[in-house]
Amino acid sequence: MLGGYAGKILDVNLESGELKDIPLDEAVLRMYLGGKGLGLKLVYNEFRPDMQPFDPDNLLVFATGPATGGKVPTSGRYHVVCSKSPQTGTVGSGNSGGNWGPYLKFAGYDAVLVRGISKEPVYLSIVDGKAELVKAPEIWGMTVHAVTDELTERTGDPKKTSVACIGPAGENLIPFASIMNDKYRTAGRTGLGAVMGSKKLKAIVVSGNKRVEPANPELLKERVADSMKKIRENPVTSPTGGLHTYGTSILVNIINEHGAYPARNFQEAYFPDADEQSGETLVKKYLTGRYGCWGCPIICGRKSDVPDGPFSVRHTEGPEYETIFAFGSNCGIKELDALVKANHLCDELGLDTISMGDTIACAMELVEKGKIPEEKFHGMNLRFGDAGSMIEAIWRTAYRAGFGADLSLGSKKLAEKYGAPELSITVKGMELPAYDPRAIEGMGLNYATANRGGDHVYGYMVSPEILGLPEKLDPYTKEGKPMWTIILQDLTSAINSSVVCLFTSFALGLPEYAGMLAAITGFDLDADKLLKLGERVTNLERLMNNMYGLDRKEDILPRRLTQEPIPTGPSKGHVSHVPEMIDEYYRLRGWIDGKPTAEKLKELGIV
Amino acid sequence: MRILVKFLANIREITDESEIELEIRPGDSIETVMKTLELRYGKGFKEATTGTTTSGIPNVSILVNGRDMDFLKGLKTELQEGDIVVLIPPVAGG
Ligand code: SF4
Repeated sequence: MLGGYAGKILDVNLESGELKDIPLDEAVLRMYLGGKGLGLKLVYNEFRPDMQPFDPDNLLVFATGPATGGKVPTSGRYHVVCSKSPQTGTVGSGNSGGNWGPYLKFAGYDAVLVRGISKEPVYLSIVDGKAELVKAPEIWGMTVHAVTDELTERTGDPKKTSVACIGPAGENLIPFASIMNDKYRTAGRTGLGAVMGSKKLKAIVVSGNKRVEPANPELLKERVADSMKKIRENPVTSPTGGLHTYGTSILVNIINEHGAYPARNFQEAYFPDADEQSGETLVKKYLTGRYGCWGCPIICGRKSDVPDGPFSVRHTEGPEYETIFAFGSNCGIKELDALVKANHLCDELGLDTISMGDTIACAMELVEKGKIPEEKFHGMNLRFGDAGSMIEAIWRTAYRAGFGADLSLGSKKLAEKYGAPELSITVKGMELPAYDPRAIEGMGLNYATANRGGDHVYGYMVSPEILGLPEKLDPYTKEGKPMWTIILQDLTSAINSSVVCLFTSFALGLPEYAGMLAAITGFDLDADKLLKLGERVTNLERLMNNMYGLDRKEDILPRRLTQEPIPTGPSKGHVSHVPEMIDEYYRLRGWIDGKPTAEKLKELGIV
Repeated sequence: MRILVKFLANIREITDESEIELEIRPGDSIETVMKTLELRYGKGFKEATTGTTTSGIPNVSILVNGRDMDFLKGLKTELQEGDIVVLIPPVAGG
């Protein structure tokens, strides 16, 4: 057996109830490693270009990688893909931390491939190598925390058990419903939770403690020691560093001061009240502790508590930077306690916070512009800056209650419905994250070209353009950005196939990752080969999107970002120049009009 | 002439205030301002805002009106009435 792998995939047919063990194919692992790469390959094997998101053969794959559950830093992560996203029409994709990935592997499987639609609600239980489908109509309707507690209790030892599940939003097929694990960890984007809901699969419980050995334990020890040293010495990732101390929301003030913190549905890129919702303020007012995913020395998660007031919420976690932006500045809301509450609600209901917040922001602008008749709201006062109505909009969306039915469309269809498609700030139907690309040119190119739509963690150009890591690039210039974007996108594909946390990339680079992965798997890997592997993963995903009919015409930013200059703040006057960078990006990729050429696919061994 | 200086993350913990207004003279640069701030906040501030970390990353990034000083004239960048200067330690998120 290869090092780092449990050796098999669980193939679950919800229609027939059949469960099958499928041995891992070494040739596939050498090309795609695991995690995202493996998941995409499994989807590609059964690809159908006319697939619809809620078809029974829309495959849903939960995949760990060779690093998951291993003795390497941040090995608590796994990746989820599905053949077709209900939100974007692309291949669906999301990544999550916590304990679930390692415990799946310790329970005996590298991945779970789910097909079919169950007749009634079920959950899948995988305990110490034994898998079974359990009929459970009584858990349908439960919120994420309730069902997690219930199934953990039923399964037994909580120290080796983890639950990945959907909340009511997934059951109700909301196109931006997330899959949640360990209560607060999220495979958030592209509506994977809705696909799980369409299959009537409420949860997957994993429980096990059978560790997997690496191919070369001595070499791995050495290489991990080197990486750990770099993580500990790095001011961002060290045990007392920025991420640990302040969490991701340390970015609020930084991005705002650069004039790149989107506000009021991206009408602006500077929010005067940003400090009130910053990481510094969160630490001071609501932080009660910190949370780390399995095997993580960085520990960036927040435990928080709002003890009183209209938005009180006890013993919760978060919020992350993205969530603070989406419900905060983007909805014109400054109150941090309301953002903690909004985050908690989304975690309970199983909603992607970026898409939810941005969709509410879009609705608020539609209201501002007089596009939605008052009577549509049934009393809800959806206005920029109104925290109470923002909170109300969340649960209404999950249950499609009243105007929530319109919000549940997501911002693209919502804006189209009310005759103002230009007010949807989305790429490929997915709402944009917390960086205004008018002030960060490379990030715009990354958004436009990301396979799953408006996605910051597809190729995190903020790292060089704003944070100066690994080197400082001018955020206002276009030069060199296509090449940088491509490298970061392919690096991320490799990281998501490993699977480790993207945040290690603030301290580590390709040589460190390749070194550790080679010691784990026994594969002949170096920096170049790992980057090539990442490129293969990116291209395979792109190829499937092309087969769905997507190409250059979808690799665009919303009009506002290329046509409307930022009106105020430090980046006043800037627009994004993605259209001027995209041809260079395609040329460097070996693509024509957004499609990999036959030669490129052959070179990468995809076809 | 007055400028506004903002402190982020752990630099704010040293200064114990999130921002201050500072009186400067015509021709004063970021360098002058940093000297003034060192006198005001002491050794801890100086250590946190000069040099690099063990991993070679500069201890501070300085913005003037949203622009990293590295894309202006570095420490020699001259300041004007109403400028906003932001001091950022090496932190990141996602
Ligand atoms: S850095 Fe944060 S998100 Fe990444 S593995 Fe650690 S705790 Fe989880």
